[in-house]
Amino acid sequence: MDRIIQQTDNDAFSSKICAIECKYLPPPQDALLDARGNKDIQELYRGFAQMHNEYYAQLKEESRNVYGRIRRMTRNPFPVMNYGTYLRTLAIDTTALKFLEGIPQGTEFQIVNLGCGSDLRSLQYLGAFPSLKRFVDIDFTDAIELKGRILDRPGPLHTLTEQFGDRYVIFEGDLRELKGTMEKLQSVLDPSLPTVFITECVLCYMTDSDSQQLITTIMETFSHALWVSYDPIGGSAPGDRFGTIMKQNLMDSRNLDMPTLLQYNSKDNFATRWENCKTVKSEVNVRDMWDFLESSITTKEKGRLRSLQFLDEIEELRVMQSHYVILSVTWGC
Amino acid sequence: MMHIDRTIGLLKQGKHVKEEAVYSLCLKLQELLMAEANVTHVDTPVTICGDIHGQLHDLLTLFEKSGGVEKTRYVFLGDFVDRGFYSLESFLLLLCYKLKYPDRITLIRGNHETRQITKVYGFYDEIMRKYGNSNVWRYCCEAFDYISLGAVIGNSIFCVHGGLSPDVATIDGIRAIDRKQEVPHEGAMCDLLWSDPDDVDKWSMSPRGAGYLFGQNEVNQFLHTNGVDLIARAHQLVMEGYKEMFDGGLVTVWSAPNYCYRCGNVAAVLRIEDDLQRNYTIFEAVQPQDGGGNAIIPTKKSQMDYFL
Repeated sequence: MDRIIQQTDNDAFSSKICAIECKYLPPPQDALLDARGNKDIQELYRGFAQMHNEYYAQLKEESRNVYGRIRRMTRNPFPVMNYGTYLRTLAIDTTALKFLEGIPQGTEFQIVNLGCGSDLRSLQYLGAFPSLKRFVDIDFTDAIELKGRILDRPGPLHTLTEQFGDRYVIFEGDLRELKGTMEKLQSVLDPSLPTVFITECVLCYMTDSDSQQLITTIMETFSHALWVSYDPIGGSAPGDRFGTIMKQNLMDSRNLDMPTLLQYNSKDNFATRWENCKTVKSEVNVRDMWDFLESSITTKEKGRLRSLQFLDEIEELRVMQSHYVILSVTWGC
Repeated sequence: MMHIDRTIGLLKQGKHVKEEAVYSLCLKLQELLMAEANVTHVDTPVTICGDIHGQLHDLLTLFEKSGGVEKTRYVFLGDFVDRGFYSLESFLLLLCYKLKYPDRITLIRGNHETRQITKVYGFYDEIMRKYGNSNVWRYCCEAFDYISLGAVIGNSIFCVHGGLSPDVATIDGIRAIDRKQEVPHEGAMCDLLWSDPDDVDKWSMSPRGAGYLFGQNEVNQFLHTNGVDLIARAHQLVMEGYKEMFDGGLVTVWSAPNYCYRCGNVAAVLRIEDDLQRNYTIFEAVQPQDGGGNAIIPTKKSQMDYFL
């Protein structure tokens, strides 16, 4: 089961490679309606394509097997998938950036990517923010070992991580084993510093109780933080069968389970795990990705996206994107 | 004719059709379509069908639920191929029916019946997977170039895949287009296959990157100018299978249930009676078969995409 969940990282990484190849990512400097975000976006996505292509090239040397899987997946990506990858990437970053804007300049802060997989936000954020004291990547043993080996191979990525020194921490940990995970996190993080927790398609593979405990414990441990999460929701409108079909399809095609997809089926329901933590006063905001596309991306940028590939079906894009959400929870602000 | 019957038999069982057979079928279709006008006349009663998108099993359901080709006349509004896993079989089945019952099947070209779009959206890859070379894809694309752009049912319903074009105000104008080519990126022929109705008060830019958005004004103008009552089109996923707009002056018909095996929508066909009354038939997707593997969704296929 763990292996099946880990393989979803290949999907995520291959999607990102496709979105880069088709020029959806990185976003240009005027992509966002919120003009303040654009300056940081530019900084954050500097060298984005090269960084990912380099990781992909090194992956080829390190694991032919994983590389082969990803290469097969990158053949002929559908525009609807590239749109979604673009949106999820940008939504997570704009949410994080908005939180960071609220921190007085120069204040040290920390970021934790829970279930990071091959995500390279560590390198992006450490490069863009000198006051980022620590970036922690944590995932299953196999995923971390592979990522570690890739980043250790001589080349620009290794040079970069060397340069970051102990600001970048990468370690193995099972998010379901809370005690061990928290001990590791606390050994490298200061719970009083502003901290960003990222879960990108991670909670959706966990059981309700595992994810609830993880959320509650982190909220009670860290005094000032943002939790940003990107996940699918099953859908709650009458007659909405998206989640049921998705659960069935993923189970049939790859034996992948999403235990809470139909439980946290709406934006409101999705937020309950953070709201359940009564001892911590938090501010919760959940948007679906269609809303994000409609209300956060400039008309000019939408025009650019349109020009990249013919999008054959808008309604399909709407259906899909309205079943994925970006959650932002802040506390101690 | 025996050749065609044999092919229909193979298709219904999802069996391989030889490259040479596809070649000769596509040539025959070309010959037949060459004689058709850009906008063909169709008599009532007739059943109007929207996008199919390679969902062969659902196409078979469609025929089952709507009377079948032996008893019923059909207009297919295009988008036979791409996205689903059986684009070739779906197109060939319609092709065989068209050859066998030329008066009972009218095919209209969709925006997916082009070289450029099939390269992105799956038909090309499907052919490479099934034949190891692109010949069959080429034969089909050459046939696509001859498919009509529209139809008029009983002098009162205009059928088209996408919608209207600011470049052509009349059905006679559409008849004058040189259609036997790859669909261009702009102009009347492109717009007919790509445009969408929307709540706009003038011609507007389409979010798809081709064609236009048009509103009630454009529809009323077109209906009035051409003396028709209804524009029947497909092209847009409708979760409920069909959607009437603009006081019933336009209808979208969508015939691919659970589109892409994941959207959860129902499908519809629209039967037009002799008195022009509209009767919709709704149908659901064929359920994948459990047990000895999935009969509908081949396991080799990885393109049932979710964000993971």
